[in-house]
Amino acid sequence: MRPYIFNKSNLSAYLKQLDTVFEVWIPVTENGITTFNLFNKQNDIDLGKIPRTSVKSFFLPQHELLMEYSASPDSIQLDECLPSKKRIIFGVKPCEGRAVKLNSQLLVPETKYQKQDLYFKANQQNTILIAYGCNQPGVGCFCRSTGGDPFGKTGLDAIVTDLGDRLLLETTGTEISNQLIPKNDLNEEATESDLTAAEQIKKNACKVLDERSEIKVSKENIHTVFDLEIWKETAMRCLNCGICTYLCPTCSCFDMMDYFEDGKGSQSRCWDSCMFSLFTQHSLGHNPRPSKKERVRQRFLHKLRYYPEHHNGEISCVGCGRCVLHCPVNIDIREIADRLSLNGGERG
Amino acid sequence: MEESVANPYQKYPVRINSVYNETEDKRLKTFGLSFVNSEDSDYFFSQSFQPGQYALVWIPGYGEIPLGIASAPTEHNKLVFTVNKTGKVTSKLHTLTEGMLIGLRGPLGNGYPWEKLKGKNIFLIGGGCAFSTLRSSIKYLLSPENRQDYNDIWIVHGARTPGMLLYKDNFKEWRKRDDVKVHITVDSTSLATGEYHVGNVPFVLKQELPTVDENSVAIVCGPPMMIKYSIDPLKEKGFLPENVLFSLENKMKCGIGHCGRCSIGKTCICTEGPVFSMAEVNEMPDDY
Repeated sequence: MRPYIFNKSNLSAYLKQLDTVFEVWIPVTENGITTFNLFNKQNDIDLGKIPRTSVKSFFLPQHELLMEYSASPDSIQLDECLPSKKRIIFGVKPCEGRAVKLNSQLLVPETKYQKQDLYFKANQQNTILIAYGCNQPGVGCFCRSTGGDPFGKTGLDAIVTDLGDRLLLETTGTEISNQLIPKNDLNEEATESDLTAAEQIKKNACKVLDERSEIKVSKENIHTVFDLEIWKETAMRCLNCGICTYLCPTCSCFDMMDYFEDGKGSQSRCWDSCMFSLFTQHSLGHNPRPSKKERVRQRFLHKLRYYPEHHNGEISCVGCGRCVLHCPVNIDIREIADRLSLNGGERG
Repeated sequence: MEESVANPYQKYPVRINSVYNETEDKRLKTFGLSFVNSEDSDYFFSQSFQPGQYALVWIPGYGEIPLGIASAPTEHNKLVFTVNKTGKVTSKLHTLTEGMLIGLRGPLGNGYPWEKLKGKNIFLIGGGCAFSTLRSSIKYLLSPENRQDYNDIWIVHGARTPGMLLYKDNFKEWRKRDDVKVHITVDSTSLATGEYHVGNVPFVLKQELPTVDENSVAIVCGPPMMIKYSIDPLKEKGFLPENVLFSLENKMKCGIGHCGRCSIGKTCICTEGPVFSMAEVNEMPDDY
């Protein structure tokens, strides 16, 4: 099936078509910060920037209800709060589709011996992702270094390529992607020359990214990796503010809590961060990761070492660059990965 | 049609049947629980529940905590937990009385490898609250249907004072049997009755344990210091690293390997553990 093409000025019309069937979310810039907002007449879509928050919020929300219950001395009645709202997120970056896939491998494993997170699974079934390919990769971007692509289709339902005055819309063949085909006068198939132009744009973007170094999985003995000087050095800078973990599209650690009043209560979860000391603190006082050094080490080794060991060598980073751009002390995962992957591990 | 998958966060209602103060400092209480719905009970026990596994016990409005299951699958439909009063949930649990309802999900994690341990000599060594899964193991091993599958059974249990020893009624029973060797030790006592050794667990291991071969397995559960100083005596007696089993614990929330906090290196304690051999623990990075 050929991709569809329509004038950029018709984007709003296309979104309106989608809006009749689904709830549509688009990236909007307010006060200099781009986030996903509900599509309406008042807000202008801003496709150029990398949204500050990733689509993780739609799959593993910052705060999510798991159970609602009523409890008394005689009975406990629990109801699961599985999400059911169908929605489209338009204008995500292609790397975010990969991030959803990476999180899905952890939270919704296929093997029957592991438990599935039904909340994440429901969100995955209800959320349609239409990406906007990256003609000009951002300064912090390094998706090609992590096995991704500025026009990759993993985890996406459709992808849009910007040809300057027109947009090329390509569905990816997922079950729901048929419903994303533009209707009426917007339904026009792309010509051969449109496709060639799109190819050229993709090539140019890849060329920029390929100049950025590749991130390799460190294979050195874990005990040696543990004792590298780099952890001490990085920890000296790190503030343990946790912003990297909150903005990261693949960080998925969470905390669980209960709320209860007048016989009714709820159990919910919220994002947590391995940067915080209470994350691992035992109730008897012992803490397996007592200082910043252990916590920084955990975050980077989880992404670059532990996750790949469980998932066929795929690292748990999609190169979106959010942690690089927003770290208040400029800690750069690429720099750490470089030093880790140096053969034999560079000491100090 | 896709097979429907059970929600791992769903809990079973369970009723508190008995509350018993185990120790003189009143920080350890043992709770006897029973399932409210028989189908939950059937599901729990049909999940091939093994001694060494844990469950998440939930108090509405307070939260969930992982607790080693102290009862054995052979004690049909009965659940026992021994709880150390430390944090928010355990403190609340200590105030609950008979007849009250709480929630539970499990069994979770892996038990001790009972199939592999068949025909071996088994040494169960423990102190404090961590003895709970050993109680489950002993009950399981000494039950008529399992006893003939295992060779010699030794139990070493230690506490600071006689008043801190756990499961006194059970020990009375076990001491009467001639197919299990029981050693109880206290750090200090003014009552030298001959019933207990006086000295810590590592000391008793050195003094009382025979020299063993590769057919002997030690299961060690207790406070970190007890474990740390038990390793050398066990090695001296001839236990191989793969034959010394530990039950590790870390802070847990989800119990299904998702929330990220209980891992040591690449190993997730809640799903891949909590039982690991000394050989496996030696392979883990120093993050515990």
